[in-house]
Amino acid sequence: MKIMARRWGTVWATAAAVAVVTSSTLAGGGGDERGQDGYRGRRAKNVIFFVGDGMGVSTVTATRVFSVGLDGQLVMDQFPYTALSKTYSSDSITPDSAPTMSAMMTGVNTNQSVIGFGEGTEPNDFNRDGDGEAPWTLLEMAKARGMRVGVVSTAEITHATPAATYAHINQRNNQNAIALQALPGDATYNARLGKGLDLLMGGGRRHFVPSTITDEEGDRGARTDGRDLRAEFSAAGYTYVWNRSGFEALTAASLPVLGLFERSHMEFDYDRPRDLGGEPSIRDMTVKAIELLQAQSRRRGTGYFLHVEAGRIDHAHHAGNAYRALTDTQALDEAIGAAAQMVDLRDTLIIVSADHSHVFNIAGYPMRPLQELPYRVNGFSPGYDTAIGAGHGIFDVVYDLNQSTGFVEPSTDRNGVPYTVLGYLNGPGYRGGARVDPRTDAFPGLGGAVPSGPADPAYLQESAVPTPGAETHSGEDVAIYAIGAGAEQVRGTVKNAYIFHVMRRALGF
Amino acid sequence: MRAASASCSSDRDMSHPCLPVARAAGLTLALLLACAGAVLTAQTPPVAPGSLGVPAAPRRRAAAPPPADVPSLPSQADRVVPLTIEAIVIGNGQNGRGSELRQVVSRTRDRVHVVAGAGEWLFERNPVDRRRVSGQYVDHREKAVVAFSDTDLLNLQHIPGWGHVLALGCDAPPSALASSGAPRMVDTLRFDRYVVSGREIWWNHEALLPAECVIAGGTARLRVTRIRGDVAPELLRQPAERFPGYREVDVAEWLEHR
Repeated sequence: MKIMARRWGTVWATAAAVAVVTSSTLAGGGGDERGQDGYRGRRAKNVIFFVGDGMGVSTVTATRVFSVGLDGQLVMDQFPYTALSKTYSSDSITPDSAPTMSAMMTGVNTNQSVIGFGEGTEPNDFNRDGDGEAPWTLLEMAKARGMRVGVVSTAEITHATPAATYAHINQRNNQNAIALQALPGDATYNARLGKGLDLLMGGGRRHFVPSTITDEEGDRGARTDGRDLRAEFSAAGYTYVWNRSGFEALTAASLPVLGLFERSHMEFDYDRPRDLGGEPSIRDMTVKAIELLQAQSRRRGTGYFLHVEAGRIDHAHHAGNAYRALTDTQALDEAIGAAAQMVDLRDTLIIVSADHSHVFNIAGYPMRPLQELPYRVNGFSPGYDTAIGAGHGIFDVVYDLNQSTGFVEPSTDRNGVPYTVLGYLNGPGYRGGARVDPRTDAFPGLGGAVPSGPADPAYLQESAVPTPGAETHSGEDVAIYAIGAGAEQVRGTVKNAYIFHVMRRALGF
Repeated sequence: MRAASASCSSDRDMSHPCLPVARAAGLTLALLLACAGAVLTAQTPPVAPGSLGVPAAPRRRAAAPPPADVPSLPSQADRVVPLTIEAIVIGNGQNGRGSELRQVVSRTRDRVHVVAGAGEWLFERNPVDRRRVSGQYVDHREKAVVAFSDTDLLNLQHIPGWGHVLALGCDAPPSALASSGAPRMVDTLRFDRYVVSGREIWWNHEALLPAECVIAGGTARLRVTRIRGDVAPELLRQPAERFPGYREVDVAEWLEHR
């Protein structure tokens, strides 16, 4: 009798948790003027939420030209529902990834560097007034309802964006502590995760390995408490993998899974062939995650929530290297395409957005490549005829048409020096001194060698302001793309917190 | 704030006696919810044509050639003896005036420590793939230790592998290349003169060490002024041990939050 009472207690406790989550969500959700319910559209059983970190509209446009040409369509371009998303944090016009992803996952806006709390929480709690209430994330809500949940990132899996799906902390840089919030049984474990995340894959192995030892790839850990979380997660039932061969051997029976493929962030997609242990691509990880979560959730009939982040578009922009930013965006688009092909869009919502933009621009009036023009020209400067090879011209200098003569030649600054189509307002590409023709510029690029031209993967696009560290984020709106069950809610110009409500309502929470 | 904790153990524990009862209750609840869901679905309007269309996979541009592999190492790399090397790095400044930076390098078979300007570096040879290198930069002004992966070192510091660190940033001449001109001595080591791609380098093959060469893509010149046959062990310790109050960050954090 005692055992039966305990079991029924469990059932009612679970139902009560669901009720608490539902009521708190309906009551709260600051920062979204359209938080009201009333959605009567098709329900989603599964939600896949893709985030391109730093993937502003200019990045998407440039990637489109680079990857599929000006007339082409990326996969995300084909999504039928779009909106603009306002990204500001509670304390800043231009945000970082912590408050933005927190808003998208909880419906609540917050401050720079803060993950999973409200706007009354300042970073590091420097006012010593406590962190206050932590709103539920959509992942936590999904877990409370028995759904399978997964988090994938090409950044460190404890970095701000993925962390905002499963953790609550007033300082994003405390990644060693964030790792513990995902470890079942730890004193700081996030109990809202129930039995634990079903799948966690990405970089950031150093936050799971003691600083006194080297890991599988010969890199030193960063934990100062002496704990080896790889072993602790394994003891908690996780299948731990760290390289391509381990990743490929994963099956649905492997869940729960912890995949840590790099000491810090995973490689840029362009650099991935160089990796020591072999890394899966973001497309590979997305496909595997869907396969595993889908198989397990079908068995239980409960659906899944999956978050996938292309975390290094942002890093490439910070480094002033558009090539890696666009190739990583292309890789994300491939992952989105794979997901859209795998799922049943009648019961799955796929939503794509960004946390913020970058000071990255498409400048001048660059002509389309010669081979793509709708008319003949009367002549052109040397190099214009090969611009198509430079990512359909996006990675070249600006060529313009003299409309009187029909001759195409590079556009120039007021000193007669050409300039590139792509550039940054600030960052490491600041040349200083007099500008030189980008096609013969000896400014060292990534890797130290002088790039062969602006289409070289190592080229650092010019910046106007020499910021001391990196190129910076920017504050303009970013795009939201959606397809599948519940996608029709995505429209208008909204605060980024609205994304949480789109997903919540689609799932029927 | 804590979710209700289950009094049953993990559902992976198939032997637990409470499981069948919990499952029956769960199934009942699921059935009720499914029925409710079916009622809601039946009331929803039809979906607009095309809104559920699966996106087509676009035809994309051809991929660029992959980056170069990590350079191989000569066998002498495993026979390097501990040395402390003092050097001057002369930068090619504008208007003919260059900059000068003094460096002190502590070099062993697996670690190289460099004191340069306001900071210092510790490079470590990868024990799994010994061609590779990782690095930590200690910025005393910011009180930070910045960790660089091998790819970070390649992209941001122009270091393709361990051999480049051993050679103090110089491009070693091919072993088959004949020397020309007068050699020079630095302390007890002899360095022969080579000309590679029009650039002079004074080099000792056995020690894998330059006496003088062009570095940093031709923008600077390194000149060794003194060589001692010992190293200070303290300098080769982990920066986290030497500077326990410093914050440890990776490159991405460093770039974003300076």
